[in-house]
Amino acid sequence: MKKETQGHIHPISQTITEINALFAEFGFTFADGPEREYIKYNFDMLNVPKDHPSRDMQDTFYLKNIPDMVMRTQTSAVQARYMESHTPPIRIIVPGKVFRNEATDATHEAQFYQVEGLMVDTATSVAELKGLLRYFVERLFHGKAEVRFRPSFFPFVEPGFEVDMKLTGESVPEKLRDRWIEILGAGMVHPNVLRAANIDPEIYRGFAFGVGIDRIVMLRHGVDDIRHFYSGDLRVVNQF
Amino acid sequence: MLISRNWLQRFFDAPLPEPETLAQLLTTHSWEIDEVVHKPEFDDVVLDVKVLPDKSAWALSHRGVATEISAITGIPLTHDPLGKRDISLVASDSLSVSVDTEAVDRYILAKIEGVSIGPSPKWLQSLLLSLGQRSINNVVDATNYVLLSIGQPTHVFDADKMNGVRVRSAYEGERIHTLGGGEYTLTTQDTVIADSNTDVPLALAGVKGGVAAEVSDATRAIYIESAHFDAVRTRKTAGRHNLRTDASVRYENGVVSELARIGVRECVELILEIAGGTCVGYTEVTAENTPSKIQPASVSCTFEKLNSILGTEVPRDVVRDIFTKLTYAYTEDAYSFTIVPPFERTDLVIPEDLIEEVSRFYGESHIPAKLPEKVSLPNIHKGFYCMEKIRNTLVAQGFSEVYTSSFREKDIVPIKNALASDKGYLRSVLRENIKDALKKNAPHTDLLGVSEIRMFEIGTVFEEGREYISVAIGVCGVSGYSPKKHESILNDALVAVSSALGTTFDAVRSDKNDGVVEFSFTELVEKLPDHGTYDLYLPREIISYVPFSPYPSMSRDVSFWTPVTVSSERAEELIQSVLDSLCVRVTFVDEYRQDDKVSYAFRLVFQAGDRTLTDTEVNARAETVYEAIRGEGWTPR
Repeated sequence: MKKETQGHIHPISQTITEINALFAEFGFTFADGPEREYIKYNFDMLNVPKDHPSRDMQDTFYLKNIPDMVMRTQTSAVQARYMESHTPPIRIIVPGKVFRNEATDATHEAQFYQVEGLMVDTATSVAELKGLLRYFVERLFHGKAEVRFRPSFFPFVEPGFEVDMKLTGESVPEKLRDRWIEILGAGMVHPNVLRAANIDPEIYRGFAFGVGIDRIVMLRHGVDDIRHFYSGDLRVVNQF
Repeated sequence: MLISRNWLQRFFDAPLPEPETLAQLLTTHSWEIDEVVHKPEFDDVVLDVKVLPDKSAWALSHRGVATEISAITGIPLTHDPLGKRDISLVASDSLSVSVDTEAVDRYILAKIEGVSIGPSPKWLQSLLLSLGQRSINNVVDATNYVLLSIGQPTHVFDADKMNGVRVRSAYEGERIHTLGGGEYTLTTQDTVIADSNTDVPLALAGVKGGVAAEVSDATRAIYIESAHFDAVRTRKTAGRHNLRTDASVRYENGVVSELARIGVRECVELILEIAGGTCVGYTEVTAENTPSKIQPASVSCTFEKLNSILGTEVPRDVVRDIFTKLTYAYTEDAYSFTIVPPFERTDLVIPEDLIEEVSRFYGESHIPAKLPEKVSLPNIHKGFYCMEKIRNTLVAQGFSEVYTSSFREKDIVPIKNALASDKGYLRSVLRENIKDALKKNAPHTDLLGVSEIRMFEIGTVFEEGREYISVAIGVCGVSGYSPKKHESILNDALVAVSSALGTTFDAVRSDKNDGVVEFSFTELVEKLPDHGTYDLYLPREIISYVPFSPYPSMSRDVSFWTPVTVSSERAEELIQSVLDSLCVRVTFVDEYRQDDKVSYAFRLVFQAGDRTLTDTEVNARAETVYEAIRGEGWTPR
């Protein structure tokens, strides 16, 4: 074979591009925010109680000289920022790096990528959330999908769901076919979150979802170790 | 949390479904079941239940799980300890109890005289043992039973080893010896149960009992404590001393204060039944505004809201049926329904909470999947658009994109709680990481089939007052960066990026000219105009990743003359046909023609997944290739 003259785009970047394109069809705008974030956006405005365990030092990275900031633990922080500065209807998609203070292994990294989706309008519903997420996983995994919502909890949504998918179809990687796989968390935006951003929950409602992009790439392409994404090793990247 | 099926059955008269069915029902309607473990030795089955955080105030107990099962299956909860809210014990003023801290808003102490300490009855031992708990003696087992049954921690003291109780903040540096051999040095943020006369600490409040008034076989009189300690303080104490217990977990999740009244009653009744004795009475101390009976506020939701948020039509009789099975006071009018939550359900406050109850018990399978209306994209994100442009431009120039760690060993912005000493700072530049990555990748050029390593990263970097997105581009050969060979590659890359974006910019090189350039993407983008549309995205086939070998690769070049009629493809085919799977790549190096002959050169790259190859193995394979070449009548060079 000839020498390689083309480089390769990191699989997470490729996936972000794809996700952005999928949601652009439904009018979801790309939005972003800082990785070092104010506690106000990362926790307070997201209905996370002041004494909530997720704020503890064992989960969140704090900065030595900047007491009111953390390394953002979720791209949901951008939800709060965006809602504060925009009026509904809102449709955004927010991919980005997030940080958790946890020991690393093949399935855990202290830094990884998430994508957050948010829609706020006068009338939206769990049914629309379900429809959109089914569409999303079908396009992403090149097959037909069922999605199933299980009860779950995140402070910024009510009700909250854990979402499973079941894929079928020849183009779906075999290991993923015909079984339930947990894929993301979602829910209807908590009225306190709307209120904190000066959006009237009596008029507007919304849904939000958060997906681990690393996990999507690992599932879709069979990558066995999340740390490969951050090792700068072209033996990984150049396969994509 | 581990839950025993036999224990659950104690709350019902009618038989419960099979454990696998129970697990399935709970996963669908309540929370995940991690595992179903059969325990034939106890004729029991244990479910590992992952109760959700917002339901942990009332559901971290067999009774809590039983209420969910009752609501899901409609099997009535016929033996509910919370059904009776009276304490049903005789108040006594002979017990000395005082509270000098805000860390507890209800403290109840009951006394039983004439108990006989001994082993628990078989039924109790089996329940505890099947959950992996220890069986200690009848009175201690009784406290554990009450905790796991209804979620209320209780504790027993040997009444003859103490005078009375004073609940107070710990003294700075005060030491306590806890049950099980632990010793802890306390701070004023911790709370202790101290002896009312001697001031000796008898227990670490909400967390663990102490040895000073430990129950022994000789114990004849006991105090039973049932209290409500503050959630946050208890969590912090447990965290500070790395002593998370069944009790502290209940408090930190916010069990309600009234449960302490039911807990003391249940515990006393059980001890009287299995250890004998007489209850001489109880004393209760409560903080101001702590009601003996909680009166929960009613919550209403309109049917319109319920249905429009779920996106479905839930029949009214279904809504009524759900709350009836939950046994909540339920009323409805033409537009809305109203419930009064039971006193322990602190999680039912706003209409959305009721919508969640309906959604999970009705079942999400009733909710259709429906796409939102398509609307046109209101704007293009300039930054993302330009980032894509840079990526595509650099990839066309042979550069691959890497992501590296946001943490560095030493830099400008320190992290307060770093994971490791080499991850103590946020990166202020990308080029240091890229230099490291180039060095790591340099030995793999042949394996990757490239002439030199070319890579870039687009990522956030941090200074004290600001963060911005930076781009670093690097190049190096097998033996490092050589300006003569590589400088033009970097320059071409910068020119290509410039022309793709239609602007010029300055890139920083590090002091030593070492093959990495870096520029601020954030600054660059600010100067650029907005764009109309994203490039069209074309879906690609799903690539399967192949794990790479951790062992080094080895290369051999082969070159030979062939007649001009032989194409390089034909030559490569021949080489491939005689090599085994240890050859991981055959790269075409060059060709040149002389008269009626052509010379081809190929690089063979060998690697094993399980070992470092030897020269002998590799040379033997190169020789096989030469044999095949000679066999064709071609001439090795």
